[in-house]
Amino acid sequence: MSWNGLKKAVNRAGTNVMMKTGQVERTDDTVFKREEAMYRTMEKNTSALHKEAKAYLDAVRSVSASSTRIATTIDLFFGSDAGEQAMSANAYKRAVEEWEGSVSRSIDAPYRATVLEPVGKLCSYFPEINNAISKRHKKLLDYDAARSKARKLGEKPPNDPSKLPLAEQEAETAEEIYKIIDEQLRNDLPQILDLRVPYLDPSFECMIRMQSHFATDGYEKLGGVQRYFAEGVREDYAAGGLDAQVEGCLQEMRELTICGLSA
Amino acid sequence: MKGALKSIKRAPHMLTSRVGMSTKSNDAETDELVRKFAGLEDYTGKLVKDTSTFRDAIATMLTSQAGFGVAFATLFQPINDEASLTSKFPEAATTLRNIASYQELMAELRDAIQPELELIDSRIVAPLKEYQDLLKKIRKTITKREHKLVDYDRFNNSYNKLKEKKEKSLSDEKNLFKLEQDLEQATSEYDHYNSTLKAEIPHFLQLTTAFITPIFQTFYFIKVGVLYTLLEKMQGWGASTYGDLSVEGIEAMHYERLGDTVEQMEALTVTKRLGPSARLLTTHRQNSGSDSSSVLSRKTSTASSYKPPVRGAYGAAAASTSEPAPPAYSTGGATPALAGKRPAPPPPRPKVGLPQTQYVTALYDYAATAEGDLSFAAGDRIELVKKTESTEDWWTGRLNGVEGVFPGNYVNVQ
Repeated sequence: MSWNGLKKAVNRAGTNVMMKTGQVERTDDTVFKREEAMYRTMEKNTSALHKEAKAYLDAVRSVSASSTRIATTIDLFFGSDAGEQAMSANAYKRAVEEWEGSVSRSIDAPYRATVLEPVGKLCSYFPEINNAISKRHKKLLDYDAARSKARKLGEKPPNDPSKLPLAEQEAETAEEIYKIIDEQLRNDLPQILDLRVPYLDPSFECMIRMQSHFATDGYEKLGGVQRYFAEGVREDYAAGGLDAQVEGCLQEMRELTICGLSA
Repeated sequence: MKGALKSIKRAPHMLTSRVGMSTKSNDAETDELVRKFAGLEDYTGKLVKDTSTFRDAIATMLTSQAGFGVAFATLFQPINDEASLTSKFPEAATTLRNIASYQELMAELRDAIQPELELIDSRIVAPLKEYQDLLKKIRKTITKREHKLVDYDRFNNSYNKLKEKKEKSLSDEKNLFKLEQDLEQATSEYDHYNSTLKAEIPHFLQLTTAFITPIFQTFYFIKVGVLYTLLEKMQGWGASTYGDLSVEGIEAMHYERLGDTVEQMEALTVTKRLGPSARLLTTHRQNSGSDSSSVLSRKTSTASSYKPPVRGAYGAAAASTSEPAPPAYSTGGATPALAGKRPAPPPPRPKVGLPQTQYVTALYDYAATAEGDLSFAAGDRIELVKKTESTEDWWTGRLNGVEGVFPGNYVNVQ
């Protein structure tokens, strides 16, 4: 903080104390406070929206990338095996790769363009707005302080007659600058609040479309792999037969000498 | 302690064999099996890690879309004592009507799929980890075999060296006998481990295939099940409201529906950085000048210039689509800003019923021969109103505001 900035901050802290003790009259600011509270609700939720939108994209990318890695690894397990299982693993790998390509083509970029970036752009305005709000608050304090100083001088004329006009002039300037910022905010805040609806509205349908497309596309691409499975696998899965197979294999492995030698 | 002692005893041999001073024996068959086995260790580690990543990613996807729903729903409700949004923004009525049920749907999806994800843990990750433990045990056996091999080489080397010594002392003779015994023991131990590995690793590899197949199938069904739940709920919910849920041309749709909202937002002073107070003051004084009512007039003018974006109006929409996507947002709107990063979005679909005007160029002069004919000179560009398949026919066109028919073979279609 610069020296001037520090001086201002100290003076304003002083004004705050004087206001609390009733020595400086505080401008009634309830109307603006209401406006600000509404803006805060919007700011908070838009930021949350941005965060969730980003998390969603990251998750979608991660789902598709980890799927591909899993499929590749499973394919490796079968090695150069050419049996039925190996074929199904290979078919699965191809399907998943295709899906990943489709996700990055028809979801990733459009999602960024229609959901993530528009929300992000709205969020990018907030720092400037917050800046203006806090500036307005400071200028209001300055104005209150200058006004009360001028009034006090008026009630009790000091020895130096040049002081009063100077203080009055100062109060006037403080008022003017406060009014500029105040007017700007009072004019713009309700507008930006209103704009949130038409601005975000198109993104909603895009989000729904892409969510739906993600699931539909994935199901269409992967669903066909079942053809490569032996008959009855699906029923086995539902009845827990696959789990029994897994457990059976593990049990047989445990009984091998090489698994027990080191124990 | 015993292990430490052993490793100290083995160290000199490891060193000498590495620099090639003593011989090292190997068994190609076992080495090949061990190499395959190392592959399994690698794959299993990856599979465990990626499966967990996958599960977490699905979980994050569900929670973030639910969070998205909550935040969006809050934004699309009247904040504090705001007036009803539906009457204020009729163009967003569909969203406003559906946002609450969307929020519910997302929460429902999250709760519906969560149990499926737990299946990944219990039916995929848990058995894989057990399998991994077995791999570790086998790895220990392999290490043991290697140690025994070192022992064997060690005793074998010392024994041979001593045997070839020309003049053996008394203690040498004693040592030779001891080494012979040691070598014998090392040989039998090594043989035991080596042959066990050779016999059982192939069997283990087979079992692995038998083990990974149901694991893969289980994973597949869980995943397809998750996708199906998502698909069914999304389609069931969205199809009735939004009809076709394809993502074709979604960017163009977004761009079009956004209308001039971005410009309106950019036009606000509050979205731009506030300068220092002194400058604000000067510009303000310059703007207002002597006009004392400036504050009032500015307020009304900005208030009236602000209109909610009209996107229902077809005139505006058509104008923006018939032209090849004018970059309306010169200040860096969403779509043009992206153009550098990736292929440009597809051009907006032309509106049905608003075909682009087509022009033809006249090849020869033509003077009207009957009423209703269109006269023109060679080189004129004629707006085509109606044409037929054949050029040996009368087409309808417009030139200089006059509409009329002319022979199709007199013009050149671009």
